[in-house]
Amino acid sequence: MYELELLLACTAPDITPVQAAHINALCSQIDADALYALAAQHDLTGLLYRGLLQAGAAELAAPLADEILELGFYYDFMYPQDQALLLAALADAGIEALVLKGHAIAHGVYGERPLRPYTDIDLLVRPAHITAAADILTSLGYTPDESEHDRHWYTANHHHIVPYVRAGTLPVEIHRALVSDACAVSIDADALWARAVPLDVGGYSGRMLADTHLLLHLCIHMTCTHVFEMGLKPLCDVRELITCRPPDWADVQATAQAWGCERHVGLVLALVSRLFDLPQPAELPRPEPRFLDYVLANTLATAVAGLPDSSGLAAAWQEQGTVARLRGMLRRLFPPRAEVATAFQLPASNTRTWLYYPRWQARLVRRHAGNAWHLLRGDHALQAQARTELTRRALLDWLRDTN
Amino acid sequence: MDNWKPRKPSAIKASVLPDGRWLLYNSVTREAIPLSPAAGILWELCDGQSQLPQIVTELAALYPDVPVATLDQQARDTLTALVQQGLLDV
Repeated sequence: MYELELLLACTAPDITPVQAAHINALCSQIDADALYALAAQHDLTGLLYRGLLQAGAAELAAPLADEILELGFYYDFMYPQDQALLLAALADAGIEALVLKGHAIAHGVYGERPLRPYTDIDLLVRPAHITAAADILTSLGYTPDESEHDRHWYTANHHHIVPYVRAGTLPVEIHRALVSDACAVSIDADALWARAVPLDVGGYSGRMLADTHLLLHLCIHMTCTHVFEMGLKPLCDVRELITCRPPDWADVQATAQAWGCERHVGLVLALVSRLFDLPQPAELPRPEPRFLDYVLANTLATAVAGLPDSSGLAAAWQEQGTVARLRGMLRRLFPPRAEVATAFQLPASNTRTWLYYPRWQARLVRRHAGNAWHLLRGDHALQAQARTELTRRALLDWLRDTN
Repeated sequence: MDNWKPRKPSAIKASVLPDGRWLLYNSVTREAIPLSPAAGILWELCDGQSQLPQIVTELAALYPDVPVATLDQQARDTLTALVQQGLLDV
């Protein structure tokens, strides 16, 4: 329990004497191995190391020294060297690229790159240059990684193309957009390029998002793409950004409103405020306490709670009484024709949609029979998950409702 | 050695870790060598213009509690090692 409190305390950008005293008091109450494991779970080993040293807890930091050395080797030199070559090759081909996410945050916000590892390189490229960018990657020895989905799936369903990989360096994801269409936000792409700021990448002059856009992207990525399953690291990113480079909150609010993501940003900042005891800006909407509790639980568990694959089942299970529940399930087994048509990519006017109902029902049974059986048998854990699922759905509805 | 004007090779990049250790990286061989904080500072002072006595004078200002003779010997030993490892040119 104290391990989490100590970890959070150590992630502060600049530890004050009062914070240092608090950290040292906690050091004697924690299990060191549990602390290191918790930091590793949230990919915060670098920040933990920095915080312990700043607080004068060198003994507790010492076992992490070798790992920091290794992080330094990769994130101060190896990866930036590869990334500089890639950006230079893209530029030589007339392709502009904005460095996104972890790489930009590590280099542009934290300053000390080993503090903030990342697992891939995300680059935003103008849609007209996507194919040419992929060709450049190929010329540098990268190959498409279709181990999870083939490249056509990415083209049809994702906001970046298939990841490209090469032995000895990080995968590269070329983005055509900041976020997927499913996030239902309206990002001004021209403004992203117009306001982009310089970023040194291994001695190469690259560019990254301006602070307001970076903050909004972080928030949307956490809420929409991952529903807070990525743990504490992105929240530490937000805290580091707003602490070390205080935003123009009026600009943040205006841009968030224009993009339709005020609630995403309000939710993230409310969570940052709760975790790190920071003031919350008045300009942005505040979430209901149940939403904050839900995303906090997801954050600490690095998982999405609820039954995302059984949302309809969870909703039906909340009905009172067996008859009402059965009625709810029947509604899912026999939905409106338009829903079945959409699921099987049929024209809305198709007169043979009724032929697809058995396939629809077979699909539902395959997906939900197991959970349905356990719910009927009174599985308390699953019933709790079903109740949590309704909170998740309500949260997503709240985020999508920009009125 | 007193006439040496050690300088940093262009292929060698450096960074300072959160604990003060230095990490030197050879961008050609893609190998890295960690240095203690003091050795890192010594490496940084090798600007291709300063000779050893000047470098020791600067180190003495940074480490006033260490006898100059000790600093001088440590600097000679460290410079020799760094040159042998290709981390400095003379």
